[in-house]
Amino acid sequence: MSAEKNRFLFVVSTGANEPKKAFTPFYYAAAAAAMGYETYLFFVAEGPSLLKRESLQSVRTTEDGEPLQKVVDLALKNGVKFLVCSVAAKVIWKMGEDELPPGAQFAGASTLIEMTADPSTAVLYF
Amino acid sequence: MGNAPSYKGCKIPEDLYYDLEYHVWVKVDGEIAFIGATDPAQAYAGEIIYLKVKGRGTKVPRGGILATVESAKYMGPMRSPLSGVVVETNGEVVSNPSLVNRDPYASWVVCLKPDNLDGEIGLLTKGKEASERYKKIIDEWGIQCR
Repeated sequence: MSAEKNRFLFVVSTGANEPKKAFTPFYYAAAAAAMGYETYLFFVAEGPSLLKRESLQSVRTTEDGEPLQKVVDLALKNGVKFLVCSVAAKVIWKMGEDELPPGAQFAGASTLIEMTADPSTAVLYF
Repeated sequence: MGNAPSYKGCKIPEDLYYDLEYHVWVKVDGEIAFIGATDPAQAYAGEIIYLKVKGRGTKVPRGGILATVESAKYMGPMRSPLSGVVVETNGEVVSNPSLVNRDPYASWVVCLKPDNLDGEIGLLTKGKEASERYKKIIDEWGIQCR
């Protein structure tokens, strides 16, 4: 019998170089949290680049659209927890802890593996 | 509701109760409470394009999720101002959620049978006080209702 899903994990590997894809994981994670699921966004590879200060203001889906900051704030307001691959963030994107949004934490590969192995977790990949 | 006090176009009818944390109104009718989004809340959300509502028989605590509200620029929960059991949902509003934008106080979303109305009604704000307190919230949100 499969376990009831009560946690959503959104793995985000696309980054600021693909602005049209940038908003979707934050919006869907905000939806899952608004529906009462424990919800995480896990940023790997290009993903942490979305959280850089300049990306939050400059990434938009259209020229006159809202900045990425808007959906990041929406996700945080709804209680989505942000986990950021420490290797990608620190080595590739040269980000320190002070550059993460409030409440976001660095995490390692073992955290992601452990979470995805939990049968109560639904995993979506962006 | 036509003569309800308004501020920046946002109406706050005085005959309702309000939860100023969850931004919902409550109308008590005997043992039943009708619950919907306030005028400032619908203005903040923008045109609502999808509303997912908990089904009949769902037991919710105060603060529990009654519905999920989705617009082009907003996504968030509608939280319950009272503990109780959902006895009815408004099918018309679910199939046409922009009714909440057009007439928020005619568009109840959920009808609840409260578990502890006497104990929890005091946590809500009455209309006259709510209309005063909403002025600050409306300014903070930077919204205009219509």
